[in-house]
Amino acid sequence: MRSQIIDELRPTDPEIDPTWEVETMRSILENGGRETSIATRPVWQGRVAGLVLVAATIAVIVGGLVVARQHLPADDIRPAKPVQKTVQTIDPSEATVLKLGDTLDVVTELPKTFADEPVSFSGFTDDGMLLGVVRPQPADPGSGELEQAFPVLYDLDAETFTILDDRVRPETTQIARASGDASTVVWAEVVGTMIDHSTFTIYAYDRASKKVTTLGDFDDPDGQIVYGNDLVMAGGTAYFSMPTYPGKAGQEAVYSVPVDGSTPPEVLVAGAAMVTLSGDKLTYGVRDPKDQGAYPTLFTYDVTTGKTAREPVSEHLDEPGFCGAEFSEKWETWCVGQEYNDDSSEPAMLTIKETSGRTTEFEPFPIDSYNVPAPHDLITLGPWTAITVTTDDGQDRKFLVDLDTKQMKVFPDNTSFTALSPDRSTALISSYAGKGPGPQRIVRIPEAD
Amino acid sequence: MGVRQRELAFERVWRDEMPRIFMYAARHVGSADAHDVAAETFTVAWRRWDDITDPPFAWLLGVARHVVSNHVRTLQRGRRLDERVRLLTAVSRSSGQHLDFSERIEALQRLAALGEKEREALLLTAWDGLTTDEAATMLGISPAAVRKRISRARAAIDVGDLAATADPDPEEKP
Repeated sequence: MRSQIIDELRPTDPEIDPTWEVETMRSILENGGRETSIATRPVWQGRVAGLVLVAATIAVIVGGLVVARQHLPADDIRPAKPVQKTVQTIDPSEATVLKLGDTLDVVTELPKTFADEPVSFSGFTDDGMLLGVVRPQPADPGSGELEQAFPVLYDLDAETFTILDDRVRPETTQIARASGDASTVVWAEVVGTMIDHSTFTIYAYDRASKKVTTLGDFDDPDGQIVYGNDLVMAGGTAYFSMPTYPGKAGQEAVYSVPVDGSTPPEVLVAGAAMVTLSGDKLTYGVRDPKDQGAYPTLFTYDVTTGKTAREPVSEHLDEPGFCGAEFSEKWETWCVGQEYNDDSSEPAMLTIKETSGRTTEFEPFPIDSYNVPAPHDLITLGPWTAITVTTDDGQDRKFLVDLDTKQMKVFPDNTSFTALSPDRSTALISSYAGKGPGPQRIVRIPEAD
Repeated sequence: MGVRQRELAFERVWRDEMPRIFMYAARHVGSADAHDVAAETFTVAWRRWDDITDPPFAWLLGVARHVVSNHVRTLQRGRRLDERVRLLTAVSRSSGQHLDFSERIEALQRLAALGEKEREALLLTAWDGLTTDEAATMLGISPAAVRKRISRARAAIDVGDLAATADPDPEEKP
């Protein structure tokens, strides 16, 4: 193949909604970019059919990833009800929209800056501290240079920050993932603008001694073995993965490393990637090295017993328009909607079938995300079954439904459900302004009426 | 420069450069988020109007690179190979119409399979139109290192054997 083809593929000017252009430009000029309300983006007209995140991939990966991101414990299972062979229908469009400070209690408004630099929070430690990242802004934003980011812990009660590691690194890095408990915080740092970079380091911070330990340092010179954008911690061990590009297909692996750094990272599962954790269950995916396009097979690994089990596969997998499924001990879900490579924007219909025999069918959720075109990440929050719907701009908006009463509520527009607190009574939510991250807040999970 | 003159100048820069900034963002974060990246980039440009260079594109691309990195972190989205192929396919869907479909797909897959350093160096010059020196400034490396990365990228696409063409580059130091 001649590499000049790449030059011939140089993109032509995109089709951009002229209304968005005019309104956005006017907004910047009128408001100086400060209190702007950038025009709502249009749905991209020229979307090509997706090559990713469909069917079983969504079925098994997306739900798992989101669960891991929210650091959910294992008891996200709705209690079983007596056998009821019934079918009920719920319409998400009738969900009551929660209002911040009104029907959605704001426990804490989180700081937007630390030392005058932007800070954002991604999750909780199991003793209720917040994990955050400070991302200093460059003095000359046009230089393209990236400033060194550093991880922090934020004490919600004392309203104080603890800097975990502000050393000058040999090469500027950014914080990709962080996870922590009462004794240790681990995080991954990558070099470059994308997460899946081959140069990355895993660190651990001992909260008692305040000592930072390098758990692993990686740099594949071929750029083919990359960071998997995952890092979880359980029982004093950190887990992460390194998937590969085709140049080193088959060399991907899930790694484990003790957080005290006593031994270097070692391969836990060869040929696997995509680590998530829910309670004591580590989930990972295994791709067929001879068919990298095939959906990965999911396995769980119990970090306490060491037992490995294969995850179930939805019996609806081959149905037309199948777009995802999730399983727990008490229910299974599946959705049917837009087919792979189909640009028709069919609505995604979610069904929850409980082992009690009750089936709940939902009218279409307001799906407009092309990357995640299905409701996902079902968990139980008190009386609620919580369902995540990803918006076109990547926000994970949470719907709360009481399957007994059919009552339904939804978190405010323009908010993302970022993490659930250890006691599951509150959540970290993130708002987004049109020009970037907005305020973050701790809110109380509402009670059923 | 008066306020109105500044506004007119901004409007001209927006009109001339926004599509390319949008396209740069789209190939990194997808077209939906590219709207935010473009808006945020030009918001910074308006705030820092006195700092902007002439010509402005390289400066704007530098801002966009920073904004993209924040978006990637904020969204915490993984960018696996198939996702990257999708992004590259999306932004180049209207170009190279004379190319055979399978040839186009194979080229994009090979492009997506490059390491980030090589791919970024190649596309900053081949798609975004930066000179080698401009790309070097943006990436914080020497022009020689940029040329080496581009050469490696083209070699990998030419032969399709990615691992065999890559080697450690002692020049790649800021």
